[in-house]
Amino acid sequence: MERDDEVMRGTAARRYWAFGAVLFTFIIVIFLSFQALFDQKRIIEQDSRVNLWFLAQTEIEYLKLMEVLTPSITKDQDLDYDRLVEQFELFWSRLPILLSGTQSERLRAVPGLTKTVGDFVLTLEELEPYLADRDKLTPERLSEVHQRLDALRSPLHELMQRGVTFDYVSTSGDRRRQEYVYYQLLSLFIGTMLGGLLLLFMLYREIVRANRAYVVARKAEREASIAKGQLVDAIASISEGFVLYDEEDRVALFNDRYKELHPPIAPIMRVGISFEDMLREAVQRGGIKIASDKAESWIAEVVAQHLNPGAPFESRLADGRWLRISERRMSNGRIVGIHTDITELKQREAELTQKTALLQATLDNIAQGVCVFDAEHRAITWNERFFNLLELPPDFPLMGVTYPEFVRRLAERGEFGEGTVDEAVASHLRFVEHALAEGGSGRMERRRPDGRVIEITVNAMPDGGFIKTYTDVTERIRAEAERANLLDQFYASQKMQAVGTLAGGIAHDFNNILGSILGYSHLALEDLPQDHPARESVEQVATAGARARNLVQQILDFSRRTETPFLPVNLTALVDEALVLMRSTIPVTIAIEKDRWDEAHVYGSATQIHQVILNLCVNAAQAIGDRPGTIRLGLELLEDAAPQLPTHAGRLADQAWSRIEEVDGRYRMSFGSLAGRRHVKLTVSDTGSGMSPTVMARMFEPFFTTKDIKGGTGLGLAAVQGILQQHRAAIVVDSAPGAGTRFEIYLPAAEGAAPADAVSVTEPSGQASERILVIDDDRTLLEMTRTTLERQGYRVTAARDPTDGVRAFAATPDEWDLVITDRTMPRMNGEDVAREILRIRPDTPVIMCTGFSDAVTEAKARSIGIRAFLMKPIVGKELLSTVRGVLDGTHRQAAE
Amino acid sequence: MRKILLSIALLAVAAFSWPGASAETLPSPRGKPILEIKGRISVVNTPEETAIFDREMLEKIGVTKVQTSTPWTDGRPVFEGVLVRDLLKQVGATGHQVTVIALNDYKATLPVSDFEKYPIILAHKMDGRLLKVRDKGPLWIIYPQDQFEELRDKSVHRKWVWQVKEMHVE
Repeated sequence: MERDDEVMRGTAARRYWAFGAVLFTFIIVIFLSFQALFDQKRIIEQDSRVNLWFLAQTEIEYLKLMEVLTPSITKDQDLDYDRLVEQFELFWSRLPILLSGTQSERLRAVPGLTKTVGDFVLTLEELEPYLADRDKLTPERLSEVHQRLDALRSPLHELMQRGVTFDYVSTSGDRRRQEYVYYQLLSLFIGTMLGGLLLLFMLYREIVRANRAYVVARKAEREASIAKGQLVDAIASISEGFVLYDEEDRVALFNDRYKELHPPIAPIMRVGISFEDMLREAVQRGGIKIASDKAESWIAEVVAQHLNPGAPFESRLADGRWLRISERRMSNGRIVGIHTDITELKQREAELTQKTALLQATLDNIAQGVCVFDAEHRAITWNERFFNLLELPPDFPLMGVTYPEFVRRLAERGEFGEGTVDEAVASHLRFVEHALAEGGSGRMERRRPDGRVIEITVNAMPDGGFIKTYTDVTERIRAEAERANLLDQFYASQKMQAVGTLAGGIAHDFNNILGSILGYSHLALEDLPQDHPARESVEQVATAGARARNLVQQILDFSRRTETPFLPVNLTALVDEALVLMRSTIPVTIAIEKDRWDEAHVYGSATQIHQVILNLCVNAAQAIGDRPGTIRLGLELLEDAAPQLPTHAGRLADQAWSRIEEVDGRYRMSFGSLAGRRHVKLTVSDTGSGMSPTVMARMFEPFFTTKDIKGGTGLGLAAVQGILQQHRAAIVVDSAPGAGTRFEIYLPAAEGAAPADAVSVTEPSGQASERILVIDDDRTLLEMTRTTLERQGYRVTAARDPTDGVRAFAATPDEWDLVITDRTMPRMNGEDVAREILRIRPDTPVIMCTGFSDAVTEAKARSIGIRAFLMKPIVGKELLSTVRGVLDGTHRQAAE
Repeated sequence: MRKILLSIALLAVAAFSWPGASAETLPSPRGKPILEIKGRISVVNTPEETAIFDREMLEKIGVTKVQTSTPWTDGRPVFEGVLVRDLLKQVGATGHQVTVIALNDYKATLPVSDFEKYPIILAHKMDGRLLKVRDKGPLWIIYPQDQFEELRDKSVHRKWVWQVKEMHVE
């Protein structure tokens, strides 16, 4: 730039010099030309004038002579001799000039001049002697001189006129020359004017151009200066280290940041230092760790690399920082270097790598399938689960694939089931677009071809992309459905429990009342003679009481509030016995048939199982109604019952019924679970009206009945369920409207044969004399129990207050053979009484009466040492046989 | 600078004034005076502070011969007369130009430098004869135009004053 400036300035200077020289030459030439022309003009003028002047001078001198001479002739004045002679001489001096010399040469061409002038000279020569001596100049002579001279006047004048004429003629050539000179002068003047104007114009143009160039140059210079200043400022303020080397690889420019980045060489950093020296200094100061013997070769290598800069490279400094060094060769051959501190970048890069790995690991370890699409909706990352969920082959191309293309490929694989590919793609794209537009997220569920249900969520990401999450919700959906079902079951169970509690509570009080009615009516019957008119009435009372007692028993069965001793039961014999009873009860139009009839034993209450069989058979008969039909029964001993059960049976909680499933047009539901492997399957099926699923769902509810009000209590099947539940049995009901119903009951099989009729009621025999303490807060029952026992010969002491009873026992512990105590009493309950008595005398037999019982209270009572239970209402026979059994030690219930 | 110039000027004045001061006073002419010199001269011989000369006085200064053609004569006459520069020195002239006046009052101004550069004479003889008034005498300024070609010019010819009677140094 400076060099260009100099060149420009040099050119301008040369031009000015040339221009100046031209102008100077022009002026000189003009000046000389004018001078020459003026000279010529003057000479021309002079020439002609000189000629005429010679003549005129001659005439003037003549006239002067005559002027001196004439007054003396006319006597006006005295003669001035000296003047006369001088004037005479002067006049004479004019004549030779006309006759000789170059100046008057042309004049001599005037005709007659030479002769006339020659004559004048002759005249003067003749007159000279007259004037030679003043004394000899007499007036006469003077007069003659005057006369002779006067004679010259007219020829002289004539000569003068001729000269003038001649001059005019002869100088016409001169005039032409003169005119020519004028024209030349004029042309020269015009030329000069034009030349001058041209020069002025050129000068003006040159000045304007120079001025403009100057302004432009100044502006450019100023701008360049500003630009340079800005550049320097910019370089100084950038966050990168900047260094510029000159052609000889010496530092020409650098900023402070460069020094900051290279502390070892900062003290020696200056303009002019060579790159090689910088390196050497850095090595010596320990800025670069390198063995001293290898330093030189290393420096040479780095310098060579520096002189042929390639792509930017990263370098780690001795202090641990990282620099990115970008060196470039500029168009003028200089090298410029940018040094960027990328330590933080490196750390972030490492962190990013770590985080990316962490993210990938996270993605690979989550249960969801994840696929991320970028702002252009291209797949950028995903996890293995994603592939697994969609059953994509490992070589399925995904990286960079756009979402529409991805959906299309899925659709082509049949992922979306029926419908055209285009529809499926459009539908999915709509879903994503809608989700992204509406709050940035969306959710959908769809069923895969393999039946599994996946939940798909889409969430917008800040960068415009989105993330799709795939979750296998098959289990969840199923669990939710199950949960809903369980909730229904729970509510049903709650309802039954509530009803049961209510019924149980009422039944308890009823039992006490019925106990009195039955007990006293039996006592009354014993007292009344056979032919007593009141006997029939009392029998009716006893019969009605028995019926009421059965009803209460059913309520208690349903609500499981009865306490029945579980004993091995020969189920086969029990069912046979029930069938005999049934046959006599149901219409003959209904056939009873037996299928497989295995010998089977179970643990349980024979009475209750008997009740179950009767209830089921009665139900079957009622379902068949008046039409002909068949009730089929079967008994099957299964080594492994599980395969026989519906798929869902056994998995359910044993507190509720399963969902109703439809299989081949029939509806099935089940209840309970199987404990142990061996089971006895009791089947009761009929050809009756069958049930709809709606009826099935409620068939075991208490008080639910399809019969009219007189037909049933609605407690039959509820009681069946209650009993079977107590027996830990599973129930399967299979029915279809108009196609009969089948009950399958799975009872845990008992090992080995049970002693026959273990629970059969033994008749009391003989007269007893043992001493029995009876404790009951209910006075009526207490009295009835005492009366019943005393009639058998027992010595009974009754106590209404438990503490009184215990005190009485404590007074003479060894005198008591048996203690019968009620369970529910104020101040001291049956367990406390039993505990106290057994504490006083551990081998005392204790029987506890209770309205309801369960396994827990039973187990607890046994642990205390209670020998047996009596269920209320206590019937005389049961009381007596139990008492007798306990006293004889044959009642083993308590001992087990 | 100014001092140097001043001293040079003073020296020049001294150089010119010294011969005048040392020359003997100009005697009065014994014959008929034919030339009167006026103006810036230091040597005079009249009460009017002019210098007047007769032919003898002029001849006494020194006669120089010049043979040259003239525009007013035929051939190459030999002129004799005093060198004007000698004459001016004689009168202690200090001017730069001299106005020469003829009998008929014709005037021409001649630079002093002409006299120093060329041997210009104030001739009183031509071809051995004294110049009479009729022969453009008694004194005639002669430029040696044959010896110096540059003098052969019409602008110079007007300085050939003849019938000289007076010189005025300015």
